[in-house]
Formats: sequence, C-alpha cells, structure tokens
Amino acid sequence: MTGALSPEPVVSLRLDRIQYGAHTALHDVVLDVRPGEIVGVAGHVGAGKTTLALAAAGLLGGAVPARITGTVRFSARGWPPASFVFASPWTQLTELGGTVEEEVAVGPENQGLTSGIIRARVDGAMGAAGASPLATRVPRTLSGGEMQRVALASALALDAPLVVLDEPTAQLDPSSARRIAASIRALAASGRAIILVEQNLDLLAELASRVVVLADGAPLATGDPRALLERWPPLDARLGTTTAVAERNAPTYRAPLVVTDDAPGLVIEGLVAGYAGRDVLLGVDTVVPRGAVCAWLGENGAGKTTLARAVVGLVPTHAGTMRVAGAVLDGLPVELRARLVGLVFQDPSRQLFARRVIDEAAFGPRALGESRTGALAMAREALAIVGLEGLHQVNPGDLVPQLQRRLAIAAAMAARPPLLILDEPTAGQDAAGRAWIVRALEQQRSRGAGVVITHDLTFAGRVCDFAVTIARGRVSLSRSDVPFGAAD
Amino acid sequence: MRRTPDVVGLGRAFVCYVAVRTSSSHSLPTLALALIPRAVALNLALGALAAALKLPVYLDSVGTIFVAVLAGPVAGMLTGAVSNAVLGILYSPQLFAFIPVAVVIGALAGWAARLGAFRSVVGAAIAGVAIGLAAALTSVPIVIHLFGGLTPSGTGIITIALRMVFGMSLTHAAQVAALSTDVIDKPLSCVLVALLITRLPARLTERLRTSPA
Amino acid sequence: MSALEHWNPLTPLAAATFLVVAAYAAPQPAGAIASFAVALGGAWVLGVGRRVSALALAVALPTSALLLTMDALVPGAPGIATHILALGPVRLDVTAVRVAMLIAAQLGAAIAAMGWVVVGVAPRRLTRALAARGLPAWAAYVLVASLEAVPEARRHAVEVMDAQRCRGLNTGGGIVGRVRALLPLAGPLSVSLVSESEERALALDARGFRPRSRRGTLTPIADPRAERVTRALLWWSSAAVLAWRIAVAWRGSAS
Repeated sequence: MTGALSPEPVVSLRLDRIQYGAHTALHDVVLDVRPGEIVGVAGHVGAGKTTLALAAAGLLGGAVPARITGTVRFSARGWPPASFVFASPWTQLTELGGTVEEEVAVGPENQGLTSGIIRARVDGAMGAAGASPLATRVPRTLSGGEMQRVALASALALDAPLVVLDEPTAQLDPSSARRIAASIRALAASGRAIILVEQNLDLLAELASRVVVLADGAPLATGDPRALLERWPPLDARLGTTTAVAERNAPTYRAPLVVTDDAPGLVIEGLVAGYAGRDVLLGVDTVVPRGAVCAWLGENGAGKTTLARAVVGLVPTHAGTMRVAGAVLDGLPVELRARLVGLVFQDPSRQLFARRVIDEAAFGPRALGESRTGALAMAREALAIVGLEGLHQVNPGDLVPQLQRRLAIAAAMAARPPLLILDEPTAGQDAAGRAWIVRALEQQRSRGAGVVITHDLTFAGRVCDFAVTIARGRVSLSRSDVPFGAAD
Repeated sequence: MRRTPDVVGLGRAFVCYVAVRTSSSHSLPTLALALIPRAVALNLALGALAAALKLPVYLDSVGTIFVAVLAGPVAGMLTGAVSNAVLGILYSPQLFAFIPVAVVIGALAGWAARLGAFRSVVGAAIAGVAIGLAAALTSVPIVIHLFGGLTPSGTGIITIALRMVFGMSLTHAAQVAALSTDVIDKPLSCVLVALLITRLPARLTERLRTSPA
Repeated sequence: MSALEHWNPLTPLAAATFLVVAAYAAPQPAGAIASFAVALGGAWVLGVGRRVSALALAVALPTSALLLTMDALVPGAPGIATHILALGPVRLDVTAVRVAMLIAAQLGAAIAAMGWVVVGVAPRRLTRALAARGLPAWAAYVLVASLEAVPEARRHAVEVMDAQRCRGLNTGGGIVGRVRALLPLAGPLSVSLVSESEERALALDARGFRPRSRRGTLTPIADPRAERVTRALLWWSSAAVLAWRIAVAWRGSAS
C-alpha cells in the first residue's frame, strides 16, 4: 500500500525502550499496522518478539510490569484494543467457560455486552476460526490444534480491529498449523490488521505482507518477507532462513549409515502396550542400530509418545520384548531403566526443580548413584554439549522455554544413557537452538543410539539416518531416508 | 551463550509484581487471582503425592501456605477458603465446616511470612508449629459443636483413646488429638514451602529477601 | 437429570440454608428431625436422592456410632446417669444416646440440604446466578477456575512423578528416602504453579477481564417471580429462626 492512499493505522508503535527491571528487552521500534495488512515479526529466541507483540496489544504495564518509554496508539477506542493469541494452547484459557462456546463468550462477557450481542459475536468468531463444530466440547479435552482454534475464536470474539498472534503454531502439528494459517489469511482479507510473530519462517514468507526482523532487542531489517527471509547466507545466523533456501544452499542429506555393529541400540519386537484395557500399541517391531539416530514420525495420537513411554516403562506392556544396548528392559522398574534410556518429555517444566542449572543436570547421575563430584563433572559435560555452559548458576525457572528444553536434554544426557529419546525437541526453537540439538544428537551417536519424535521433517532430515512412521499403533512404514524438506 | 539477560524469561518479572503489589495494598491483581486456582490444585496434588509416597502426613495445605507467603495473608485466606469449598463441592459438604481452619492457616502463614519466618528452614518450622497449634485450636470447637466431639477418622479414635486412658475431658482430648496430627503436618508443610520458595526464579527470591513486608 | 436444573440455582441455595439453620437453631430435637426428613425426602423428590443420601449417611452414621462407642467406653459422672445398657465396664446412658441421635440428625440434615446444591446444581450455573446478583467477577473467577484446576492437579502430579522416575528418582524405599523424594516432585509443581499463573493472568488481561467489573452473560438464567417470592420467604424464615435462637440464648445468659 502506498502512503497517500493508506487508511489510518490501526496501531502505531513508537517505542524508544521497553525494560523489565534493569533489562532492556526492546528498543527503537517504529511500526504502523494498517487494516488488511499481515505484519510478520521474526527473530532469534530472546530477540524481543513477544515483548513487541504484547506492547502492540496494549498488554504491557498491566499484568506485565514493564517500563515503556515511547507511545502505543490505537485507532479504536474499545477495550481490549487487540485480539491476542498465545503460543501455548492450554494456558490461554480463562477457565471461566465450561464449554467451548462459553469460553469463547468470556471476552464479550467481560465487555459487559447483552446476551444477544454476545451470542452473535460467539457464533461469528467460532465460524471465522473454524471452531464451530467444537461448540459444545469441554475445552480441556481438546487436542492442541483444536484448542488453538478455540483460542483464536475467543480472541476474535472481542471484535478488535487488530489481531496479534504470538507463535500461534509453535506447538501444533503441520496440518493444524495450516488451518490456523488459512484463518489468518481470511482475517486479513476481511480487513483486520494482523501482527504475526512466528518462528516458522516458511509460514511467515507465505503469509506476511511485510516483515520486521528483530535481533538483540531492536529491528535489524523491515521489508518484503521473501527478500528478508529467503536470503543466503541468512540475515541473522541465529534466525536462519526458510526451508527451501536452506535445503538449496546447505543440503542436509546424510551419508548412508554403515552399520558395523551387531549389538543394536534399541530393539522392539512385537510390542503390545496400552493403558487400562485399551491397547495403543498393537504389535510394534522396530530397530535402531547403534550409532544411528532414528525419527519416529506420524500424526498426533498415532502412538509415538506412547511408544517412548513404553520404552521407559511408563506404559504397561502386554506382549513383546524390548532391549537397549543388549540389556532386556521388560520387567525393569522405571527408575532402573533410567540407566539405559534418557527420555526428554515435550514439556520440560514438568521436571525442572533445582536451584541452579548445574544441579538440575547433575540430578540424574546423582539419583543413579554417582558421587557428587562425579555427577557435577557429568553435568558440566552435558551442559557444554547443548551450549549452556555459561549458565551453570542460573535458576532453571529463569530460562526461556527454549533453553529449558535444552537443559532437559542435557539433564537426560548427563547420565550417558545408551539410548536417548527426544519428544518434539524443536518446537519453538530458532536456527541456533536447532543447531545445538543437532549437536547433542551427533554426540549421542558415539554413546549409543538416538530417537527423535517430531513433525519437523527438515530437522529430521538433518540429523536422522532413517525414519519410521507410526500409525494406528504399528510401525507402518520404514524408510532408510527421510523425505527432507518435503511437505509431509 | 552471550549474555544472561537475553535468555532470561520476561515472565518472571510478574511474580515480583504480585509479591510487591499484594503486600502493599489490599486489592488483588489479576496475577494473584490466577495464582489461587493453581494453589488449590497444588493442595490436592501434594495431598495425592503424600499418599503415593505413603507419608504419614497430609501436606494438603502446602498450596495455601505457598500463596500466603508469595502474595500475603489475604490471598492465603482466600486460597484456604476456596480450597475447602472446592473439596466440599467435589467430595462432601461436611468439609465446608472446616473452611475457618483453612482460612486461619492462610492468614497465619501470610503474617509469618511478613515477619520473615519463611526466609529460613528453622523459621518456617517454628511458624509451622504455631500454624499447627492454631489450626488444631480452630478445628476443635467445630468438631465439638457440629460433630459432638468426634469426626469419623483417625483423630476421632485418638480422642476416644485419650479419654479412656488418661480420663481427659472431651474438649481436652479433642484438642490433643487434633494437635497430634497438625503439629507434624504443618511444620513439614511450612519447611517444604520455604524450600520450594528458594527454588523459584531468582528475581523473586531476591525480592522476598530484601523486602520485609 | 434433576428437577433442580430447571430452577434458578439460588432457590435451592436458599432452601438449603433454611434447612441448615432449622437443623441447628430451631427447637430441638424437633427442628433437626424435621429438617433431616425434609432434606432427605426432598432430595429423592428432586431426583438426587441416591447420591445425597450416600453423602449424608456416610457422615451421620459413623459419627453417631463413634459417639456411642465413646460414651460406652468412657465412664461418665456416677449417679446421675440412667443406664439403658450395662455390661461390665461398658455402660450407655439415655442422655448420651439422645445426644448421639441429635448429632446424627443435625449432620444428616445439614449435609443432605447442602447436597441439593452440591449434587444437583452445576457450580458454573450457581456462580452465574450469583454473578447476576452482584457477585464480583474476581470471586466468580476464583471459584470456577479452582474447580476447573482440580482435575488437572492429579494429572500434573502424575506427569511430574513420571518425569522424575525417568531420571532415576526412587519413590519407594525407606521413610527418609521418600521424604527426600518430595522436593524433586513438589518442585516442578510449584514452579509451574507460578509460571502457569503468569500465563493465565496475561490471558485474562488479553480478554479484557477486570476483577471488579460486572460481566455480561451468554446464557442468562431465568428467575421467575414465584421463585423470587419463595426465596424471600426462605431467607426471612432463616433470619427469624436465628433471631429467635439468639434471643433465647440472651435471656438464658441474663438470668
């Protein structure tokens, strides 16, 4: 749009400086967003993207005690001035609604509207977000993808002219992410102004009409998304580039694995397992050779995570056998399998408890009987592998989620288990973070075997020797090469 | 990593805000409100953990004490009340009768925290003894007036035993019986909270250490 | 499906309050017995009889049984008691039996009456009805969100236990070891309590939630005139019974 013809901006940001305590999170941002425009925001982890999003939605200074120097001006007078969608599907529920449509109604209810108007807003918003079929469901029983649609509907029900989305697809599988993307496009077409923060550069390049790249708390560049994001070498190495460009310039095909060893890392034969009368795994046979890293692919709910949980002993098994590095797992209690298998769960916040990063990483070796000095040495080594060696004294709770995930990987690797399983390790990671996780898995090869449960095929292609697809409780497809970069 | 501040989550800053805001004024900001349901859940989760670990304590006030220490006595009292109300709704209405006990626990923990009791394990243990005493003394009149002096539980059987063996009056026996559980449970809960608080993100603990209120 | 779902939730609440007041403050034992009969009978009429009876009897029966046991085992004041049972050291006197029966009736009445609300009325509906009568948004939030958070609590505890056992934490063994295991288990729960609360608070802000404001509602709850009149009668009757009890107590202490 050209300046003379453009309508008035929906939001006008003139931010000199935003500080949390003594820490400056963002400075020198000038940004106007107009109706129908999708402004993408990209940047490495810690670049200030979320701060920018919160500021643009008028959410700083209230619950978030930030000091803002500068102005944020909204064209509309209503409150709240923006519809906001967060990354985490579940914690953005207000819990005030017992059903999906009640949850969607919370915003307009807060605005003190009458029942008739609330009903119209709810129906409209659920339609626009593709959440109408979920209307009578109980929110906490939804999948991540469904939940994120409900979150979008709940935000839209506020009827604000501005929609701000902070990594809305970070925790979704590819098909759910595409649905959200389609809704975003339709919203822009209907005249809303949109600010989209994304770690998924492919999505940004496809959707955004303009992109702001942040680095170290300030804009590095603003302009055409393709020009900025499809650049080689990347504008910012930590941020990376789109999948296609990365594949063209730095192909990630791995040399075929030469299996020289007849004691495989992981062997699963005829595994039947599940919870309370309902078997999820219906006869799984798979092998991960020693020195190899394998990807477990498949739709959500196909049984990938259940398989990982069965390996560590958290799911009752009814038939079959499992061996890691020659040792039989069957019948071993969970805490003894910890010597053989390190599992990093999707949500690292379920395990972090120590006062310092170094103690967190040393917990596993300590629990397995290492001396304190020995455990600390192992922890230091593991932290160095994932690039956290400078943060030994920091409280794990002070880390951003992406670093918490790397800490959890280090904590699992510290005890040097011959098998390491990572469940969705790249969610929300930038290029730099992914590179550290690749490094950790490379290290794991020399110690035994690795498994990655992922939707991120580019990542899988970069680090895995082969992939198996799990569907309906079985290994349905085994491939010696991962279809890198291909849309799934 | 280059510099620590880059990687420190902005979210932690909120917590300082609750600690300061709620201790300086009586209004509860949204964050303190959002803490309460989570604390009610923590009461239940720790009760379940104590049972799973087969520990001879309840630990079902840890969430209440935790919020009282973080966000002050008002939030603590509210957490206690809501916690028992929710249990009453979900399990049995008789638990409504013990709402005052939970409120006393929340209030005392909040006041003890303002006096700095939760800055050390010893202080927390002493606060726990006081809270246990107060909890027992609050529950006894409820047990006597509404239940005739006995609840169908371990405490009720201890009460009968005390009367038989030592010839105590009903009130005395009920008091001693109530104390016998609360005086172990509450100090352990308080010590646990003190340890948990030190594990919270650094900026918050600094704030708690530097501000007496 | 209970008949209660068609009423304004405040009506059963007022009725339950009246029954509790009657059980404890009306002339005894008539008040307690009548209230018990109405509360339990009413529960069956309203279609929640089975669960309400279970709740009421689960407390009233063991409590009165335990009271009788105590009275039988603990020697009372000699001379004044009229024993209805005397087997060696085991004696039961008439007053003790009367007291135990009264307590059972009062507990049964109170729990059955509150059971109407607890079993028959969805907490969210009750909260909405209270909000329509001026309950502030923050109070409604705290109650409803807490009920919502409880089913999650157990799941979180299990997830943390799973995660830490996968890292080698032993949750069995001696008492010292089990107490030590508390910290790695309670730690992630308390840290995520704080971080999750931050996210929830921000989400509330983002939806324009204001703790003191009056909110609208998607589905208003009907409040017919007949129910309003019934409620007014019930509230005034409760107040009258309480006033009578206070007056009696006053005169008793004055003389």
